[in-house]
Amino acid sequence: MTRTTGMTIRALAACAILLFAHCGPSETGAVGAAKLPGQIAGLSSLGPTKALGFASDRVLVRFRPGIAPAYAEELLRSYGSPSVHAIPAIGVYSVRTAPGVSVTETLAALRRNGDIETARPDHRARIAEVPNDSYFAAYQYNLRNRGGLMDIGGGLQFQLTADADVKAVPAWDEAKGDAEVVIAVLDTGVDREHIDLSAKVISPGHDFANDDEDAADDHWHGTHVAGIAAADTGNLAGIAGVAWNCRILPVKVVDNNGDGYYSWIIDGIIWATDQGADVINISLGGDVADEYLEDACRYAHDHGVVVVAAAGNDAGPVLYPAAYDETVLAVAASDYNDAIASFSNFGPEIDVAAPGAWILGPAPQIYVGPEELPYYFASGTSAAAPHVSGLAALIRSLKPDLTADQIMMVIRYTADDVNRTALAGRDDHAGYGRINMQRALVPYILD
Amino acid sequence: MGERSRRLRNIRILGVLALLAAGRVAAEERNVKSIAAGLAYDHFARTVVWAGDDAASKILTHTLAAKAEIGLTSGLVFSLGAGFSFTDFSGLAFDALPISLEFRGATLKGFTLAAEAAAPIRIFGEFEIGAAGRIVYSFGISRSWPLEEFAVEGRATGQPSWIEVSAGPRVAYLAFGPRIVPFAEVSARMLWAGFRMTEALGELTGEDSKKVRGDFALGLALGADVRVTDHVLVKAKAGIMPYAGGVDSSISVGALYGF
Repeated sequence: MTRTTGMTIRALAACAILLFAHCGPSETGAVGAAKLPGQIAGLSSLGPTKALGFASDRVLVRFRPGIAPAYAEELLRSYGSPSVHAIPAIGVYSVRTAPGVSVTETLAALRRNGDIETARPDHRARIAEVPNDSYFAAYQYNLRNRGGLMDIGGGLQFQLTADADVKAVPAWDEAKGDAEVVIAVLDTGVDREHIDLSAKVISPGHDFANDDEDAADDHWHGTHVAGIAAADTGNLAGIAGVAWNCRILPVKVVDNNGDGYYSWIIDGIIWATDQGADVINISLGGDVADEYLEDACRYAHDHGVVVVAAAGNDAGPVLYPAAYDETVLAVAASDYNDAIASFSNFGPEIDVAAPGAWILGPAPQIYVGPEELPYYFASGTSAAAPHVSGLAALIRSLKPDLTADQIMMVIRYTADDVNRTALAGRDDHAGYGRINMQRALVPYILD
Repeated sequence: MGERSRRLRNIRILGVLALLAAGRVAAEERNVKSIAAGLAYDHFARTVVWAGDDAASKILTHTLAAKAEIGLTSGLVFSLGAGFSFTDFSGLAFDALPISLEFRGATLKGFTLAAEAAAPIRIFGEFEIGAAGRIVYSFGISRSWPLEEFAVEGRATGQPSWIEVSAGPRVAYLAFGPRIVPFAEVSARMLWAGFRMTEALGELTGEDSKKVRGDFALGLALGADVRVTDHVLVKAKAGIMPYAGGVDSSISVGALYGF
């Protein structure tokens, strides 16, 4: 469903606007970017994990109320269990299966007993695989939000709500991405020398703003966006990206002032598609509907490319190309409390939301200055969109046979309806809700 | 070839086998020695690796069937059975669906058809050497589960089926007389299984079929045919199927009334 507009004169028909340049004021009144404080956050120490499953020789059982413990234990032993361990505080017994009897057989037998309320497998737990990147634990609430206070320096502190995140850690157990899956970042370019991106950028890309073959970032926006989507992860440095192993194709479609033309974006979409990109992230947009831009999005979509675009930061209508409902995922911004950001554009075209308030991402050293760490906190739907692009890349990695449409639907339908209290179901502010990587990637259990 | 046409083909094969058996029996009508009917329970646990999976998982089946058996004077015994099956497929993952599903442990009901034949070949003193063969086909009843906690309503629907064919030599010990005949069997057992899972979540749909394409196991079983009365015959058999890393099991118990 496309949105018509009468703002053609004001928009000069082809003016694309960098969304970060329009970053709405935060609750502090500052612009949506702040430099990372100098101190280095502690390194995460959690190691790799084992496969999921359940114990092959043990089940958990709960009896109906009123069953005496002595009787319960005797009954459990009558099934041939060599050991029964009571957990009296919650009325549960851990029961070894009889020799030669499987968990499934044991559960089936126990469930037939009228005294037993429930019998379940003893599911295996694990240490979650948490990336060892320096700033993950302290600053990337967007990927794993454990609550508490986040202090980003400059007097900026934010009270976080635990679990107001995209559930990245459990999702990474299922998929970290395939290096063959490429996210094209249509933006100001990408800093290929950045420690968090140098191993991830597949080529110098293409610069449609300056018409050359080097999509280096002469701003900072594109580098930040690329890092959120797929920063080098597990490299003991910087941040974690959503798609650990997927790679970046830089495509420069706006100039060093953050301005561009639809023609550059159209060229960029077509070029990235022809280069074999799997996902195209467009963290920019314009006010004006344009059939050529729509055709370019359809070209990418019809070639199996998932196109993700930022909705915009004007608290107004959804920008283009995000507003092309059939072919582009329009992304709104949520914050560290799972509230939809006040600056986030809205409308029926919104598909999902993703964290877009004070998101830490890489920035070119030349931009931040030699004495500073090359990272920025920034806010905007520009920062929200690459979360969705990263998720799309992980889905494509895990399920290469899915079409672009199917991946878009998976992302929509697995979202958390974070504003359900006020607006239950799909709405124009959060769409289907804030993306949930775990639900999109981890198998649903049928039992 | 689709799942449906494969199922039809298998049913036809069973039908042909039944007709052949019936034809043979009719041809030898004058040689019919016994006719019996009753109930039979069968169970097996098979460790298999589904096509496309790395890890092994287990198929547990229970079948309860009405059985008709015809014995000929030559010693040939044919039987046909039809009944219900209850099958557990634990730890089966459907990763090709748009939203991956993992199936854990629920028992799926189905119908079963079986045909069996046993024939003595030669007697050496108190031992009778024979051969036995069996085919069992289970086609599951489609079962549906709601998919909860998604932004839209959804359901998953699964339908399993399996066929097991077994054949091998059988040695019976005749020293206890006709009322109790213990025996030992060695059988080659082939298992084919399929599990089709469909998913519908809003406008998102998908289908994934898991298959076991002829899993081979060597079964060793001990059993006995016990004639409790002149009319009631009880047959029992327990077996193992060793595989690398473990042992699977099988049990068969049947009670027949002879006319």
